[in-house]
Amino acid sequence: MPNISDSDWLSIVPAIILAGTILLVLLADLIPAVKRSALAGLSLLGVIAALIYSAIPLTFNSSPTGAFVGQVRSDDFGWYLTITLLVGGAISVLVSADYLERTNLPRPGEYYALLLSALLGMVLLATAAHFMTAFLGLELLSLALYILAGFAAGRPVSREAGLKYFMLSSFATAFLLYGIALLYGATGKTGFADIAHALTTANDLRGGPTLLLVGAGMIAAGLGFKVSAVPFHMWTPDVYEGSPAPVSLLMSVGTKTAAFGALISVFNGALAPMVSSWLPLLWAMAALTMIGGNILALAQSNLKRLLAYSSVAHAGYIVVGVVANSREGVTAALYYLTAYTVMNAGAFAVAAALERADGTGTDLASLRGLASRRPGVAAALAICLLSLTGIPPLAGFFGKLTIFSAAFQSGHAELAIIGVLMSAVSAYYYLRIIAALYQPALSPAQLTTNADGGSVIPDETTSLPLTVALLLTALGTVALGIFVGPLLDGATQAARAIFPLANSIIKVQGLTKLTAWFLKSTIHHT
Amino acid sequence: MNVFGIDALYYLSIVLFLPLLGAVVALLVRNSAKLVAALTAFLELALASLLLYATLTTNANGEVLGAPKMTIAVTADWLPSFGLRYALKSDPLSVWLIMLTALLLLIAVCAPAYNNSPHREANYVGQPAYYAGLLALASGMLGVFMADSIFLFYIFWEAMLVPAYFLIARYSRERGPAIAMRFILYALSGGLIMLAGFIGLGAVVAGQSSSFEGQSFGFDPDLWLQHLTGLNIDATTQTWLFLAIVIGTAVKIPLVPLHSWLPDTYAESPAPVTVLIAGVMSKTGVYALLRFGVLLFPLGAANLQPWLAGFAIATILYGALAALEANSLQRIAAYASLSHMGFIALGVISANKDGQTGAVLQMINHGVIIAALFLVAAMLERRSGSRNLTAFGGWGEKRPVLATVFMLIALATLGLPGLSSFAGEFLIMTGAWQARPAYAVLAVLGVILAAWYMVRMYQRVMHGPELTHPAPDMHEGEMALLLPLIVLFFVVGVAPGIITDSIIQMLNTVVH
Repeated sequence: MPNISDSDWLSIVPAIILAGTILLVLLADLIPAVKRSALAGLSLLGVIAALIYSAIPLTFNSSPTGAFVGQVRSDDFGWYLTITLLVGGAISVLVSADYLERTNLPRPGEYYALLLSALLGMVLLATAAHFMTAFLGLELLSLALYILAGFAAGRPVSREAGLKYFMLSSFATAFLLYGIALLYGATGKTGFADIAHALTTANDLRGGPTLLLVGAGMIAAGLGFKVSAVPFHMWTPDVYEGSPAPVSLLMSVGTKTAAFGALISVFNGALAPMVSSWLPLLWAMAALTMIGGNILALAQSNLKRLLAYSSVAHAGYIVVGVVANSREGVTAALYYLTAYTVMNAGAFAVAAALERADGTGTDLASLRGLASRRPGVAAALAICLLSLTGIPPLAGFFGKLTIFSAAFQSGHAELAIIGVLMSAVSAYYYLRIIAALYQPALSPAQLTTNADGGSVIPDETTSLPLTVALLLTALGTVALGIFVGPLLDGATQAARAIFPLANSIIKVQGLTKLTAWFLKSTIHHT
Repeated sequence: MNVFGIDALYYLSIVLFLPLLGAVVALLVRNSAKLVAALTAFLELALASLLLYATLTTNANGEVLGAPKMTIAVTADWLPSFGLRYALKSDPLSVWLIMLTALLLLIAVCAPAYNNSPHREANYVGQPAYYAGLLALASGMLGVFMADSIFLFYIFWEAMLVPAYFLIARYSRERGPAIAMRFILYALSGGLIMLAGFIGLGAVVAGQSSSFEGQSFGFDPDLWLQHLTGLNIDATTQTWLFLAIVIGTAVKIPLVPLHSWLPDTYAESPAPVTVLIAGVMSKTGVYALLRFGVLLFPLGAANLQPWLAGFAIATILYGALAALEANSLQRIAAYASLSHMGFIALGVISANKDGQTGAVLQMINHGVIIAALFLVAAMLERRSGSRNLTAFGGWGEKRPVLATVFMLIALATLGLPGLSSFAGEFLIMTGAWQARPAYAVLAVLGVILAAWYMVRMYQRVMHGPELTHPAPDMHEGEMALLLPLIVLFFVVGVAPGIITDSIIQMLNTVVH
């Protein structure tokens, strides 16, 4: 057995905490006296514990190739994504607590265990330094999400979402696996660093460039499916609309962040030496995704479906960061992922707050006049949507700014211009929602009657966990914009794990993580 | 640097954010929102006047060697690793516009909302959100004028759209959401294209300047501005970057053919909102075109001058002809405003000192005049219950004050010598002639048409057979509202040098 040191274990502590929490939740679920809210609290504690661990700066030795003989990343890139994922996970748990209580979904124990499993899979995928770990994480998150998507089994659309996601995702996973096999065939390696090394030394390549290119294409398709990039986005609207809203939330922010982590690791890391061959592929993916997502979103009149297409569009902007293939590009993509996590989670949290037990309540007509009924909820949604539009000084604006600026600097001005034009298009569909929120309300009679009369608790209550989630996301969206410094420094630091500074050797001395960046920049500012 | 003993950084920040603070307070106190808004606006005007004095007297005699005259500039780190700064500036180009914003804000919050048309479901007047919106809008526009960093400028440029959007959507006479949507889509699209231009500029500068090594993104405006002269950006690149910025500004000014959001927005918004949007927000477009377009990219501006001048002249003529054709008071005012903004844009584009001085002077004049025009139109509408010219006739006989005031405003609009517009338009014409005589010849048609449509409007309302109508003459409140504006017609008309002297001095140092 190769020697595994303490630092190897220390670098996967968040995953261990999550796994432990899953077991605890399942155990607690066996005790009849344990209530739904207690399960939610337990899950939240687990996520927060993992988050605290990830955010505390620790210093220990770590190998540049990754922990466990190059299986798992133990660098700032991995930590940055872990923190982002856990933030998204925590918001998802908070929103779920409100949602389960309100809609009375059965089997809460299994729900939270699956939610945390999905989160665990995301963390593994994002921090993978090896295709084996990446695939393991991908499968874990997918399996949990298949079930979660169909969790509201009483609704046909939810069952449909589960089945659809399962069928299409299995197909995409097969592509990914085939791509991994082809890359292995060409290079004889499956570790990211090993592949990059093999590609630069070039004399032990087998099968020539074709094998590599087809392999890279397959991997792009597999991961492109997970980030919902055009043309692999078809499942997104149906699944996001049909799944229970808190699950859509986790899918939209978590899966995307994790899969982009892998995409960056693979294309900007492992396959960076053959950038000229995969560039056209991802270039087209970025352009198509930005255009397709935004154009298709124009016609939507359901908040969840609209957010699904909008999430496609945002995937397009982030792919631009990958295409830039530079430290700036990765920095921008990482910053964007965090900003997107916060603002999109906020928007989906509002969708969850409005969704009734029968799955209705998120269409444009129900949103009309929300501002006069629930001003706080409407304001949170308005802030998140303005940020998604890219209005300064909110988080989304800086995301777009850094992405487009990275595109310009790496000579892809055309992508920046497409992105800018498509942002203008996106303003229409986001603002349409905001306009509806602030229109005079429909009469109360029109609001309460619905076909099934299925609403359990009237719209007008906002529970504590939901309030916390909305406050966190809305204030976070504003704060990440105005005090953009610490996070951007963090993203820059993390990007150095992929693109080391030109005049310094790859040297991972320890973990300088968000808190450390924050402290540093605060001291710097004062 | 100090302003009256206060650190200039704080003083400028207070001027910038006081309205926003007032907006928050107005939302909190609710019942006396109007009072809070009026007090805030009054205080803002006082602070802006002091800032004007301080700016114009800063190193007026060049006491400190090398220090720029008449400029108060402050900067603080915002995001050092990113090269972002919180930098504010007050110089003659911006300080007059700051004054204009403060003055029109005071008038807008003191004016009645004038939106109680029969079509409205509810009368929103007196709502705290309305006053908070006006105040927040003012802060956004002040930010555009005060920002000394391209980046900060852009933030305010976009952020001011949010309060404007809500004001138009909620308080318009009819079709509010649809009009507001068109307005914001135009403005956002233009703004985003402008952003592409700025990002492109950043990339060009970063590519050529060694001082950006090790920095991820170069958004340091001071570096940009310092390097721009030394950097030698070639004419083609300049043209493209300038074009991106022109599109963004042309939407706000607006220039034909990007003007189609204007008639509805100006005509359907409540008069005080129009006062701010037509009076000040259109100036943000010209200001940006001058400061971040023509002065930044002289070669690009020279390349595109014939095109832009063509669009500006088209704007002048189209606006004038449409004003002749229109039958509603507000629409005539809206098209008149469009036509006059074409003149101002022409002055900026002519890229010489006369044209630009005239443009800056005319920005102030236009703001004052158009505010008065929209207010008097709203007063007339309130009396007759209609906006259509056919509802009026012979009103002058029994309402001498109203007739006189309306006459003065009409004369000021058409540029009568002795009233404020004359000097500005004259300078613009001189500048346009220097650039190319054809520009001036074509533009002067707009002056003739202006006389035509303003006199037509005045005659239709005040002369002719009298329609029996119990409408009263102007009351004291309305007179008080318009008095400061009318006084300015005369003051600036007789002594335009108050404004132009400082601007000429400044342009002397900027344009080499």
